[in-house]
Amino acid sequence: MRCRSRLLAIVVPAMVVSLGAAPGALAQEPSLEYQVKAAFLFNFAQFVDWPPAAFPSPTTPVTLCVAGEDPFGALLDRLVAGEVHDGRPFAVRRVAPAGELSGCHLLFVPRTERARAAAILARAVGPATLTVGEFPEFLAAGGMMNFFLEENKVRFEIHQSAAEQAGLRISSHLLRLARVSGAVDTEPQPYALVP
Amino acid sequence: MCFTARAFRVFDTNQYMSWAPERLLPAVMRRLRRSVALAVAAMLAGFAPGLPAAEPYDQPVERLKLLSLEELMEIDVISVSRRPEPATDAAAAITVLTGEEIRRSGATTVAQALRLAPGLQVARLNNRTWAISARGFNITNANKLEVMIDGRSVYTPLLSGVFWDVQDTLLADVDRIEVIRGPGAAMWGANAVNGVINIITRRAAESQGTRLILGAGNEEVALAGARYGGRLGATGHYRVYGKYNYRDEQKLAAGLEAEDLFRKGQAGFRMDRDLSPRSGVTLQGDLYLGRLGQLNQGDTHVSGGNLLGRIVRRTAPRAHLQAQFYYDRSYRHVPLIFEETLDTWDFDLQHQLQASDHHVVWGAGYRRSLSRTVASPTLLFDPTERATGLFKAFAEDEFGLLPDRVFLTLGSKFEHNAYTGFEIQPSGRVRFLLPHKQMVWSAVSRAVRMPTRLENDARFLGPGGAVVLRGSRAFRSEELLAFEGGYRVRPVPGLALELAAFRNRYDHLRSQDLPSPPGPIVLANTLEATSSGLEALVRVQPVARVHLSAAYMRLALDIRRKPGSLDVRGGASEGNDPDHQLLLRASADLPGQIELDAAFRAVSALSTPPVPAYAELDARLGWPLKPGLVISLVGHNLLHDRHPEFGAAGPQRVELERSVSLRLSWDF
Repeated sequence: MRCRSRLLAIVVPAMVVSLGAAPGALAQEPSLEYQVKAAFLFNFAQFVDWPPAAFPSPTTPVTLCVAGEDPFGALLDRLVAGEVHDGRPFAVRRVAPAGELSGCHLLFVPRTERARAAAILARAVGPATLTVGEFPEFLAAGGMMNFFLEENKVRFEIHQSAAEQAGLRISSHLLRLARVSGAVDTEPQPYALVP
Repeated sequence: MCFTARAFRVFDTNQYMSWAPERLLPAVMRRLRRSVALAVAAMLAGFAPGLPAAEPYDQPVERLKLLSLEELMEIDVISVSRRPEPATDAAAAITVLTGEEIRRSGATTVAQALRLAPGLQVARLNNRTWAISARGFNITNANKLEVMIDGRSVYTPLLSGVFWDVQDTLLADVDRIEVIRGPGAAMWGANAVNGVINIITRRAAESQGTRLILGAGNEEVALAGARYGGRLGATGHYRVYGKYNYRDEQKLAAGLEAEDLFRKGQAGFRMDRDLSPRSGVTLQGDLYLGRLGQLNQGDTHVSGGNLLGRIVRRTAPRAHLQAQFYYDRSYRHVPLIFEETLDTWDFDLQHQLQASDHHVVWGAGYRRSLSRTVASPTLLFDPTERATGLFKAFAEDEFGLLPDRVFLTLGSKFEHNAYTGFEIQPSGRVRFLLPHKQMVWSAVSRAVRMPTRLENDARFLGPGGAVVLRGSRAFRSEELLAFEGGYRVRPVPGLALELAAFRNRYDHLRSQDLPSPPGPIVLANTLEATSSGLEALVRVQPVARVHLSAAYMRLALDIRRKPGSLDVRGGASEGNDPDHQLLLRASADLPGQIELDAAFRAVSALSTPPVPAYAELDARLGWPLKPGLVISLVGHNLLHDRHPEFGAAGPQRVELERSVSLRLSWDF
C-alpha cells in the first residue's frame, strides 16, 4: 500500500503537469530535433566558462536567450528549471530580434531569424554571449556555435576564435565533439548573409 | 551510413524508439494491456482516456536531461521516433567504447583498446599475441567471437579465432567499438557465440584535415600515425591514413629478452559519397605488412589487405537497402609451423524496414574462403588447399507487446556451411521499460560455432613425421543455449547502473580424444560445459568534467567430459578464465584543458595453466600546447616492472614490462 501511494505520489503530479499545460499540449511539443537541440543548449552551458564580468552579482542567473520566434515552446524553461551552474540558477529569456541582448549568456538564433542573423550577431558580439545558430552561414557571420544535421543526427560546429574574442572559454570536451570547421575558421564568407 | 545495417539494427537508437503510442497493436494486445493490473493503467484510464500509457514517465525533458552530449549526438531526430533514448537501450549486454574514450586511454592498437571494455576477458601473451573473449573460453585465438571492422568479418575461418596482431586500424579514426557480450548469432551468425565486437570507423566527412601522431617510449619505441582527409567533389569525402608500430621485446620469466620485437605498418583509405539524397556509397581498404619476432626461431611475416564497397539506399522513409561486397587477403608465415594465404570474398544484402508496428530487418549473403597452406614439419592441413562456401540468411522482427512498455524481438539466422550443412540459430529477446528510467531485458538464444579447417583438416606432426593429433571430418558444430538477462537504470543525472547475468549451456565442445586402440589424438566433440556469471557496471559523472566507472565481472565456467568421452585434456585447451575481474576507470578534464585518465584492472588467477592474479594500472596525462597540438604522457602496466597474463608457467613464459611513452598529436 505504501509502495502504491509512493507511486501515486510520483505519477499524479506528472499527470497533472502533462494535462495542465493544455489539452493540446502533447501536439505542441517541439519536434524531436528541437527537443534534442534544447538539451544541447543546456549542456553547452555546462561546458563553457564565462568571464567573471558576465555575472554582476553572485546570484545573477545564467541567462539563456532565444532570439525571435522560439521553436522550443516551454521546453527550455522546463529543462533548466531547478538546475544550477556554478551555484547559479538558470533563466530563459525571449528577445525580440531588435531587442536588448545584454545579460544574455547564451543566445540561440533560430532558423526563422536567418535573414536578420548578421544584425543580431553584430549586437551580441560585444558582451560575453555565446551565440548558437542553426544554419550554414552562421559561423561565417560571426556566430560561435552552429547546429547542423548529419545522417539525421544533430551535430555542431564551433568557431573557437570568435568565442575566445568574446572572453569565453569552451571546454576541450565540447571542442572535441564539435566538427572541425577549419575552412569556416579561415575563410569567413560574410557575403553568404547578404540578401 | 558508416557501418553495417546489422549493427545499425541493433544499436541505432531509432530502431528502438519508434513505437509511437498512437499506433496501438490490435485487439489482442489491447486485451493484454487491460489485463495488466497496474495502478498506473488504472490511473491512466481514470485520468486521461486516450493518453498513451507511457506518457507519465516519458516526460521528454527528464529523459533529455539525462543524456550526455555524446548520446544526444546519436539520436536520430528525423526518421522515426519521438522518444530519445541512448544507444544502450538494446535488449543485450552492450558496451560502447567511444572514440574519445579510446583516444584518452592511450591505446595504440584495437586489441589494447579492448581492455577498456567491461566484461571482456583480455590477456596479452607477448607483443603480438592476445587472448580475447567474452563470457569465458579464453584462449589465444579464442574461437567464439564475431569480430568486425566496418562490416568486414575478421576472424579467420582457419580456426575461428582472430589474429589480433594484424587486425587493426588508425585508432584516431575509430568512431566507436561496440561490444556485445552473449550470443548475437541470430544477427551475425556462426561464431557470434559468446560475443560480438564491432569496430566502426568514422565517416570520411568526420575525419577531415591532417592529423599527425608521433610517439616514443621504452617499450613503444616508435609509433607514428598520419591521416589526411579531404573533399571529393560536391557530395563526397575521403581520407587516407598510415600507421607504424615498433615495439621493443618483452622479457621472459627467466629475465632474458623474449625476442618478440614487433614491427608493423599499415595504410588505408575510406571514401564516402552521396549518390543522391537517398543513397550513398562507401569504398574503403587497408594494406598491412609486419614482421613479428618469435622466440628461438625466425620472424613471423604477415601481410594482407582488403577492399570493401557498400551502397546504402533509402527505399522508403523508414526503410534501407544495403549491398556490401568485400575482398580480403591475408598471408601469415610462422617459420617451421604454419604458412597460409587466405582469400575471402563476401557479398551481403540487407533490408530493414518498418511496417506498421514492426521493425523488420532481413538479409542474405554468401562468403567464399580459399585457404592455401604450406605443410611444415610440425603442422599440415589435408587438403593443403580448400575452398569453403557459406550461405547466410537472417530475419528479425521487433514489435511492441505493450505499447511503449514491452518489446519483443524474434529472429533467426539460417546458414549453410561446408562442414555441417544447415544451422539454425534463433533468438528471442524481450525488454521492459519501467518507470524512473529503468529497463529490464531478457533473452534466450541458440548459437553454434561452425567447424573450421583446424578441426577438419589439421594434422599435427611429432618427431619423425608421425601424426600425433588430427582433425576429423566427423567434427560437428559446438552448440550453445544461452539464457541471459539484464537491468539498467539511470536514477539521477550523472549516474548509471547496469547489471547483466547469464547462464549458458554448451554442448559438443571441442575435445581431444585418444582412440582405442591408441592412435593419434582426434579432435572430437565430447565435452560439454555450463557457465554462469554476473557483470555489473556503475558509471558516475559527479561533475561535468569528471567521469568515473567501476565494473565487476564474475564468471564460473565448468567444462566437463560427456559420458563415454575419450578426451584426455578435460577442456584445458578450451578456456582459461579469471573468476573475478575488476575494472576501475577515471577520466577528468583539469583546469588548463589538461586531460587525466587512469584505468586500474585486477584479474584473479587463472587455473589451467596457472597464472597468478595481478593488478595493473594504465594512465595518461595530456595537455594542449596550442589548439590542435596535444602532448601526452602515457603509461601502461605501471604497477610492476613486469607481469604475466597468460600461458604456461616456466622460464619461457613472457612477462609484460612497464611501458611509458611520450606522444604528440597534431591536427592542422
